[in-house]
Amino acid sequence: MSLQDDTNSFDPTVTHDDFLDQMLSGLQTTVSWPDISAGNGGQNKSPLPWDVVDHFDDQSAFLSSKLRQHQISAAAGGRTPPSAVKSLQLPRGLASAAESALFGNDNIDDSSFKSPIGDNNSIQNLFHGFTGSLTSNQTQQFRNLPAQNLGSPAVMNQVQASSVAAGGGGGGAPSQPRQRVRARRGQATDPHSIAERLRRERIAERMKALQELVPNANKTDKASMLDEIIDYVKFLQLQVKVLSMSRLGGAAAGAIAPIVAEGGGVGRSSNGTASSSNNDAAMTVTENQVVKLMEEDMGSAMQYLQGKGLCLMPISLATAISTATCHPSASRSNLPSLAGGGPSSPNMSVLTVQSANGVSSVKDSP
Amino acid sequence: MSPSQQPSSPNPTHLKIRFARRFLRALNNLNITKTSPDDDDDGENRVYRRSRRVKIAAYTAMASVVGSRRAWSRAVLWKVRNRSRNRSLLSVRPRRKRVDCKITNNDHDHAKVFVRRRNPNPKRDPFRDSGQVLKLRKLVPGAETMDSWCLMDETADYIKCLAAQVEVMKTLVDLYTTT
Repeated sequence: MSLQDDTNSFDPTVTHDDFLDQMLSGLQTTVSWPDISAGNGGQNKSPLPWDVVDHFDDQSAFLSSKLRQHQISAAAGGRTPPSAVKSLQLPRGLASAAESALFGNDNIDDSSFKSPIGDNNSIQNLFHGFTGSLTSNQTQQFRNLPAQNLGSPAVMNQVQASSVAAGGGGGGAPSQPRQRVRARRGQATDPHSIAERLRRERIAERMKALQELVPNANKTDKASMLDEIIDYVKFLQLQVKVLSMSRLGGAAAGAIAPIVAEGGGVGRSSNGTASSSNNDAAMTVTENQVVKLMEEDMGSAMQYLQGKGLCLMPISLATAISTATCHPSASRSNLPSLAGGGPSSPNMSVLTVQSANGVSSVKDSP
Repeated sequence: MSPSQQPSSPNPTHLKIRFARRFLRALNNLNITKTSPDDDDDGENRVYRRSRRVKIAAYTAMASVVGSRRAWSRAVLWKVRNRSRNRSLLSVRPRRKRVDCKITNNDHDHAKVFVRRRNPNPKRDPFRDSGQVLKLRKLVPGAETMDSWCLMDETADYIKCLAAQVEVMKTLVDLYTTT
């Protein structure tokens, strides 16, 4: 016994629009609504018009907005009355009660409502009024409906649900003063989640800016991007440290080479003043070590050298580089037979170690 | 679109020029004022001390170029001031300790008075304390208690300035070694 079947036999559109107009205008006046009262869901039979009116004023706003929107959607979209009324009747009890009340308002004196008469009379008046404009079949339907439980919380939920549903139905309608903000598909309307979403977007924008600064940053993943950033900051700080070590002029620079070369933890020259003999001693120690390793396994020798930030290269290439470049920033070779070959200026060795350190630190980053 | 009043990011060339000037001035000061006796300890320590001073001079120069706009530069300058203050306290010379403390304390308060937008709300800041973010907070000076967005902002500025600093130092090293 759905009402929707009955609505198909409604009057044509014109009268229905008039009906909506009347409903809207009727909402503004005080109407006794015997069945809507907060918490009195079970008691349909003891209404007091003034009690009801208070609730009705609250809900009239809901209803008026909803109905106005329906009217506009009906006018704009050219909707047929059955569908409009159908969506009206989704919260069946409420809508039917609204219709019944408004119909009643049209056709019956307000005075009769305002008098605190027994509910039966008012309900009968309502339904008589309703019969005046509709066929008799429907009165029976409507008469049955107000017997439903119309507690106000249920009403509120229904109104909200209907407004959301109506909003979905009347998609093209302009936004009326609704109770809820309509959200986009798949996103929440919660102000907290909106704020969170905004925040996440801002942070992502910052990450993109960082991506341009950090070299080798073609990672799309946020975690790997953070890793890259951390490694790059560490690398830059290490570079500053190494550069500050070599940033010295004069005699003190000679002491740097053994110190930096022994940074791998091989062994420190315990008592030594900064002298070239110390320098050579450290170098020969390294060279002997490399020779020993090379006899066993080439790979381990290379790793040992790498750990110290040195590399191996043929003598011819080393001499070619040292003669070709004007300033001694070429990489120095650490060869076992280094007797007279390699340059031995402390600045050169420092730069070698420094650039090699730079290289190795880049390589070692995960 | 930035909510707080951040100045536009500085031109890197300007940064480098200003940094180079201040850094060279600091190096000059270092070379001139070698107050500690030369042969007090072995060469290694001397070298280490000297290199640490150079490093501090470099960071200080960079931070003073940036000024008080950025949290990391304020933190660096404050650390350096604190360190010198602690050193003077720890040293055996008791003279004018109070006065020095007062002066640096005022500076400290002044530096900390800068309005920082605080957002300690855990709901709003889901990425605040994940593992890598913690590492980043330790690396960038002054970024321990920021929210995530400010942290990213500071990191970007810090990386920019640090890269400029490294480039200038590299060219200076090359210059010094060729001559």
